[in-house]
Parts: sequence; C-alpha cells; structure tokens
Amino acid sequence: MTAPLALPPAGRTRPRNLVNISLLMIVTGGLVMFAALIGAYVQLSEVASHWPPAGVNLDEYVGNMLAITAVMSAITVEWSWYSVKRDDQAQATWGLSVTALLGASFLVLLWDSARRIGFGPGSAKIGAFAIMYYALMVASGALALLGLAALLLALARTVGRQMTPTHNEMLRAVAWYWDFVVICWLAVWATVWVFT
Amino acid sequence: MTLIEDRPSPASAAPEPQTTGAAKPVYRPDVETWLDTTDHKRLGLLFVYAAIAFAVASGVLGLIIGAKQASPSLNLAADRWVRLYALHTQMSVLLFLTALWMGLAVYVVPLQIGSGRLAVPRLLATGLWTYLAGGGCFVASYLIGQPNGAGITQPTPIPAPPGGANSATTLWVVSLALIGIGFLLAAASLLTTIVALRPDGMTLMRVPAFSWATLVASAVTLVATPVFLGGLLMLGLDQHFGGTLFSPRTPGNLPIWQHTVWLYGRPDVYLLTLVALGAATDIVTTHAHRPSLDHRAVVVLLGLFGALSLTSFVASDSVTHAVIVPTYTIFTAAVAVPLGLTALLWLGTMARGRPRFHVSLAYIVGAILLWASGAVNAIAAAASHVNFPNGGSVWSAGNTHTVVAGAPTLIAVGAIYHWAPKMWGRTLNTVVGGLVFLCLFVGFFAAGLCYYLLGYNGAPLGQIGGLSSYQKTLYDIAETGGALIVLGVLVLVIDLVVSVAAARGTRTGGDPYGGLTLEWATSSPPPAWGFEDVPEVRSEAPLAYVRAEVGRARGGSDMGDRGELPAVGGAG
Repeated sequence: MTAPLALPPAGRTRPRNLVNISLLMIVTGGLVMFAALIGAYVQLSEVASHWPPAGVNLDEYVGNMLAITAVMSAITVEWSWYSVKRDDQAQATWGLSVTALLGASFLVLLWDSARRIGFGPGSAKIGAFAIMYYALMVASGALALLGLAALLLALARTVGRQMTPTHNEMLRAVAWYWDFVVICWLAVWATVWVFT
Repeated sequence: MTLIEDRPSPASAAPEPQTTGAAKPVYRPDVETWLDTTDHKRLGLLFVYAAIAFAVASGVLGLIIGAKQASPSLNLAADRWVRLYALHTQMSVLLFLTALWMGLAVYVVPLQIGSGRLAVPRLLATGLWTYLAGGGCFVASYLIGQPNGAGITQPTPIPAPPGGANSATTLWVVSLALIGIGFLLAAASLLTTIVALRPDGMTLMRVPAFSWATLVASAVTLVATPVFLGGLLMLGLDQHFGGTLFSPRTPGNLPIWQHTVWLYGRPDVYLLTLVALGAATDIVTTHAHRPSLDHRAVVVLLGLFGALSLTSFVASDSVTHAVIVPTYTIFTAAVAVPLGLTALLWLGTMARGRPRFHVSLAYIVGAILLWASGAVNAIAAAASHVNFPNGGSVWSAGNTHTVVAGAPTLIAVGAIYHWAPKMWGRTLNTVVGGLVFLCLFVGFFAAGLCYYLLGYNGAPLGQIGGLSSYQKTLYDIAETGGALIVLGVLVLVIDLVVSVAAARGTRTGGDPYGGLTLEWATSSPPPAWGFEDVPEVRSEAPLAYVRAEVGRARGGSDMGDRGELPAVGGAG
C-alpha cells in the first residue's frame, strides 16, 4: 500500500511588525494631507496682495513656543522608548509622563493661539487666510489629540509592566506617530511663522 | 473579542453535526458576533451587504431623477432635483461601487495571497464602521436640509453663504470625511496585508491579479484620499464660518478647489476600473483553466494604470473646458492603453486555454462592450468638437453610465457570481445571473447611449424643461434603462436571498472551478483561520503547478481541472 499523496506546505510567513508597517502607511497619508494644506496656503499667499491680511498679527512668541514644546516632546518620547529597550521601567514612565504633559501643553497653547487671533463666526476677518490658518491648526490639533490618547495608553501599559525590551512594538509605534505629529507641526510652523 | 480565531486542535474539536435525516440547516445570523468581528470574511461581507443596500437606494433616486427629466411636469422642485442628483451620483460611486470592491477585496485578497487573515484587522473594522457612519450621515445630511452647492462633482468652488452654511452642509462635509477616512484605514490594512503577510514563495510578482490591483489601488488611495481630506477640512471650515476662501472674489482658489476636492473624483473612479481589471483577469484565468498569457505584463499594466490615475492631479485650470470628460489630460486619457492591453491579454488567455462557460464571463464581455462604446464616443466628441455648455453636458452622464460606473459595476456583479461559492459555500443561480446581466448591460448601455446623444444635441447637465420631442424620447429611453439597472440590482438581491439566506443554492466544495489561485485551496466558506494548510507557492498560478505535480506523481501528465486536491503536508 502506497502512502497517501501529500503536497509540500508553503514556507511560513516571515514575522514582521504589522503595527509599524500599517502605521507608516497612515503616516504617509498624513504627510500628504499636510503637504496639500501647506500647498494651498502657499498658493493663496502667492496671489494675495497682503498675506497675512492687514490687521492680523501673528504672535511669533506663541508659534516659537509651540515649536519648542513639540521638539522637546519628540526628545522625551525617544527617551522613554530607549529606556524600555534598556528595561528601565522608571525612566520609561518618566519619559512618557513628561511627553504626555508636553503634548497636553501643546494642545492648550494651540487652542489658546487660535482663540486669541480673533477670528470667529460672522467676523469680518474670516477670509482665506483665517480659513487656512484654522485648517492647519485643526489638522495639527486633531493629530496631537490622537497622539496624546496613544501616549496615555502607552503610559498605562508601561506602568502595568507590559512593555519589555523584547515586546515594545506598541511604544515604538506611538513614538513614531508622535514624531510624525512633531514633523507636521514644524512644517506648519515654518510655513506660517518662519517663511511668511 | 479575539483578533484571530484559533484553529481547534483535533482533540478538542467539536464533533461534526449529524445532518443525515435532520432538517435543513437554518440560516441564523448572530448579530453580536458580526458587530465586533475582526474576521476578514465577515468584514468583507458587511462591506458587500452595505454596498448593495446603497445601490438599491441610489437606483431608486436615479429613477426619480430620470422621471423628472422625462416628465418635466412632475411635481419636484428644481432645487430638490439638484439635491437628489448629487445624492445619486455620490452614493453610486462612493457608497456603492467603491464599497463593493472594498468588500470583495477584504474577503478574497487574504485568501489569494495565502495569509488567511488580515494585518491589523481592527484597523479595517474601524474603517468599515467609519464608512457606515459616514454613509448614514451622508444620507441624513440630505434629509435634514439642503447642503450648500451641487456637490464635489462641481468643477467650480462652492462659496459659503454669509454667516455660515446650514447644519446640513456641515453634516455633508463631515460625512464625506468619515467615508474617506474609512476607506483610508481599510486601504492601509489591505496594503499591509499584501506587503507583509505573504507566505514564502508568494513573491510580489506571483501575487494574483486581483490582489495586485488591490495593492495598487490601496497605494493610490493612501496618497489621494488625504489630499481630499485636506480639501474637505478647508471646505468645512469655510462653510461653517461663512468664510471667503472659496468665494469668487478670492484670487487663486480655483486650483485649490479643483486639486483638493474635485479632482479627487478622478483617481477614485479610475481605481474602480483598476480593481475591475484585476478581478476580471482572475475570472478569465480561472474559467480558461490556464494562467494569464503573461502575468508579468498584467502586473506592469495594473501598476501603470494606477500611476496614470494619479496624473489627474497635474491638470491645470483648463480642465473645466476639456472635451473628453473626464479624461482631462493626455496622461489620464492614456489609461486606455493598459485597459486595452489587459483586455487583449484576456482574449489571448481564453484562446489558449480550455474555457468553460460561467456567467461571470458574460459580465466581462459586457464591460468590454461598454468600454468600447465609451472610447468611440470619446473620439467622436473630440472629433466633432462638441460644445460643452457651462455647468456640464449630459454627455458626462453618458460617460458615467458606460465607462466610469457601468463597466466596473458589471464586473463587480460578475465577481460576486464568480466568488459566491467561496464566500457563501453555495453557487448563485446561473439563469438568474444571466437575467441580472441582461438587465444591467442593456440598462447601462441604453442610458449611456441616450445621454451621449443628448450631449451631442447640446443638452446641458440637469436639464429639466424646454425639451424637444427628440430629447424627450431620449430621456424616456434613458429612464427605461435606469429602471432596468434598478431591476437588475433587485433581482441580484433576490438571488442572494434565495440562494444564500434560504440555502437554495447548490453546495460546493472548496474548489468548484478547478481554480488556479490559493483562495480555491481552502474550504467554502473557509474556516475562521483561513487555511488548514497553504500549499507551496512556485508560480503565479500555484494550484495549476500543484495539479501538474500531482499528475506527474501519479504517472499521468496532469490531474486535470477537476478533482479534490490532496492534503497539504503529512506523508508522501
């Protein structure tokens, strides 16, 4: 009696970090969105007679503070990730806590700057500049809000000792996402405040 | 909730239910497990069911629109007609056809590439529910009031009223953003699946055509949709605050509107054709019982089609005056090249293969005829210098009903008939499938041809009065075509209900066609874990290779198209 015929099985799928790959794809999409918004901003500024329009004063102090806060938070989130890789839970917790605080500060400052600039429903100042300014602020704020939620989740999991030197994919994804938020903001800051 | 269902071990597996002499199994949908599912098969089916529901709704709207054009005395105010027209066009493309292709891809692609599961399935589930929420808000926005403007298909910006637009407009913009985000998340999950979850041996060049088309379409979606979302953000803020960003008095806003909002529709509709080309290639090779004449050429052509679809973004302001709508540039017109060459490859594959008739092939023939009629009319429009009135010509509606939506819809329905045994474990009725094909093909062709002729006659888009008898006759015929399309969709729904829900369809095994690709190497419907085992992949048609090897091992030349494949692994 012959043995039953059997087919050779396919090789196993090589292990890959699916969270990080899909995150990279979404981040690519986010960068394209900011490129579109910044492109629209630049296009309008090129053809406008006054940009920003007369009577609108952009507070450079606020813009610079936002940029500094963002850069500091990018550093602290990397600090936490490297701490997890070195199995230093205390440093990782500190790093994430400081990043979350900086992220919250960034959001508060962003909200305050948008409120202070004085555009509101029915305001005579609601022109193309105001809409573009709000669009860039809303996009940055929405990304930062999502990032803050992810940071708090990562912090909770770090405190719960779920991040180890070998299993830290979630924290790495959060760190990459936060870096993406910071890069987007720096692009906005350069467009609105630096190269006006 | 579990992300991936574990395969039961033989010791713990539940005994097979005794069906001999028992009553016919009753279809019992388990609502709770469907709501929180991360199984790609269920997610795919939810996309398909939602798309069909939106198709029925959109078809009924189309009938009302056509009835008003055929009978201007019908009691329907002009502004309500415009509202229904916008709802019909956007629902047909975004909520029906895009979602239908997404559903088929979510179901079939993980099986075709041999992974049997999705990468980051929660991401795709989030995309599904976001799309459904967006679809609900989209319909609601037209129910609670009149959204400002004629929609995103309007080539000129929608200015905001002083003091801000109404809540219907805000809801409309939010709903479009939700739909876009939903498709973006789903595309990211599908792309990650194809990139990262292929087993060894399944190289990118061996990925089946439908999966390859899904890969390209997902990549284009990831690049094009965020631009659209940025445009919607500007539009929403402008409308909400009553800004002047999109006012005619603001210089430089026309290219912003066109490139961030309006032109998004171009890559989007091209992607519908792209995935249709991939699906049709797999249908043809399956029923021709041989691999494509040149799989590498198919891969290159699909990639080229996707790249060309993105070139719509380089169009200038003059696109509004272009004749060959919607192929505004020489690059976007060039998509006809990969389309035509792919169709030629289908013909060559059929000629060299051992084709057996399946009703899905009729849908592909119908789609080719619709594309051909669209090409003829595009050339005719360009050669005869058709005068396109401001605000658009009915000629565009003809193009939509044949090329943009008609042909991809035909292939999508053909794909449902093709993959129905895999998705539900039962075949749909072939005769009814033929009836659905006749209704859809005749309907799309009649409506498209009449709209083309109306365009040559100088009829503007949205004409609902002052018709000549010639125009009225054409609108009457187009309305009849629209009724046939709706009838076709309804008959499809009846076939699904009878064959699947009422379990009247013939039960099939895992491989009813003698297929070539890996989705046919598992049971129908597949288990929650996808595959018992995935056979070795050594070509773009892995099961054809397996059959040849088995035939040689048994002393023959080939085991043929039929017959169960031997088990994977174990002794031998």
